[in-house]
Amino acid sequence: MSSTDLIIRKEDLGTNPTSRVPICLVLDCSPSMSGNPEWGAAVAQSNPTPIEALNDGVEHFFRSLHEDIVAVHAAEVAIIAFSGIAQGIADFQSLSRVDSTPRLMIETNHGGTSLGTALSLALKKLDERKAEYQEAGVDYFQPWIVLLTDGIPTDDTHLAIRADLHKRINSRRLSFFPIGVGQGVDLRVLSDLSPNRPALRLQGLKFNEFFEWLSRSVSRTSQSIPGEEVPLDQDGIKGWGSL
Amino acid sequence: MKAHLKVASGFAAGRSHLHRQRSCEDYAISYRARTQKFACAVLADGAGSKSKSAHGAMVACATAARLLENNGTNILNDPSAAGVSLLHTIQTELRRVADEQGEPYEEYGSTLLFAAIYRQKTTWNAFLGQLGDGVVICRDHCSCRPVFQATNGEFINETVFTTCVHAHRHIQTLLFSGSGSVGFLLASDGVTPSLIDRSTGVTSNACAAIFSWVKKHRQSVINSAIQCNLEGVFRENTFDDVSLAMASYL
Repeated sequence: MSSTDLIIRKEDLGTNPTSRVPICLVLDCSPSMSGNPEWGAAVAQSNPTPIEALNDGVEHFFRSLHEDIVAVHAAEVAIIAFSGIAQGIADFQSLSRVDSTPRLMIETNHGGTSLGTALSLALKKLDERKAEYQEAGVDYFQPWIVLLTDGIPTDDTHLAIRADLHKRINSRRLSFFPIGVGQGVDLRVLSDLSPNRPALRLQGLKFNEFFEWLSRSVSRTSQSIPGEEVPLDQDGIKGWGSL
Repeated sequence: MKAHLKVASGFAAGRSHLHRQRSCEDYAISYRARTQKFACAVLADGAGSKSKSAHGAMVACATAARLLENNGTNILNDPSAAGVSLLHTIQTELRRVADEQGEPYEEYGSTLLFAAIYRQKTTWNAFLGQLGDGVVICRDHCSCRPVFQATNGEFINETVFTTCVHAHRHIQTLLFSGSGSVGFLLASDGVTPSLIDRSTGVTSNACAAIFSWVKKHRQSVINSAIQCNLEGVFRENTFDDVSLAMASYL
């Protein structure tokens, strides 16, 4: 080609935002995550405590995504901390705009593990974010909910949300990753909420390994193309989880 | 000035497929009859997770081009039935190929975009169609616009393919006529974000640039330019495979 008018200039291309992968981390911050048996931990753990390991893991997750040239623009992470209540501690936003990772604190004022309350809030936040994407003309992948808990639900709220979760998961409108931490968790309860993927148990406090795997999964999804199935890295799961 | 039909097309593997050493699953062809009375551009984007989708895309394009040329009269008489009939013939051909190769039919799925121009003495009829994602852009009276809304699902990685059971419900077609110059540009979803602002539907300057080549350059030059820009410019804007096809009357 000899004519310069035959080369399209980069500035003449459309500039659409990267397609988003919304991820909601639903993290148990009940007193048992302190590792203190007096506060309900199944086994005493002090160095690091589960909450410290979880914070390190979340920080590792953000750092890994930051290092991925595509995922850093595609992934949007919200965090919900829960015990007897649930509250958002980080709203969805592009990681490229996040300077510091939010730190999780043990919720000492509200004991208990209200799983359903936390998952309801996660679904609400995901729906709100999807509406914002639609309004702004931003394409997006199926949203993810990643649940990490070390306890047994202390109320029945999870039963009320079970049908909604199943409906979304079965119609491929939601990817749900329920993960149990420690020996006090009942994986059957978590698996009952997840129709096509059994709950996994974290090996010890391998939060870093889990979040490393999660960031790789986000990266692969963010680079997938229409019609493409993105299988989970099953070998990678062996590095942090078990059935 | 004597009116001309010009066509061009190209496709290239995206960065994701290059990284994984997989071949391109987009396919695009363009054809102009020697009589200068018919021209078409056809583009198909193979389903990402299907092992034979590159082959399926090729079969869909070849079958559509053949039908568009041979069935002009029927198409112009009943364009809405023609779209479904065209899809049905592609599905029959895909089933035949799948049987021949001993593979499941669903593995051959792809999207489908086409634009056919039927020229009379001083006027033309254009038959356009779209199944699934990607975009058909029309240029006439000095302005560019997308013709159809893409039939995507809610999520970016969902769309409708030729092998879907309900594909016939989703194929969109349009017939229109004119006498002035007109051009149609087909783009796969890998190229679409470079050509359209998703929030407004406004086309980028790249569309006008491509259409401007029709006036100035020979068809073979346009063909080379499309391939060169797919590999050098559009591919850098996406991870997906990239393809373009164009048909114009000037």
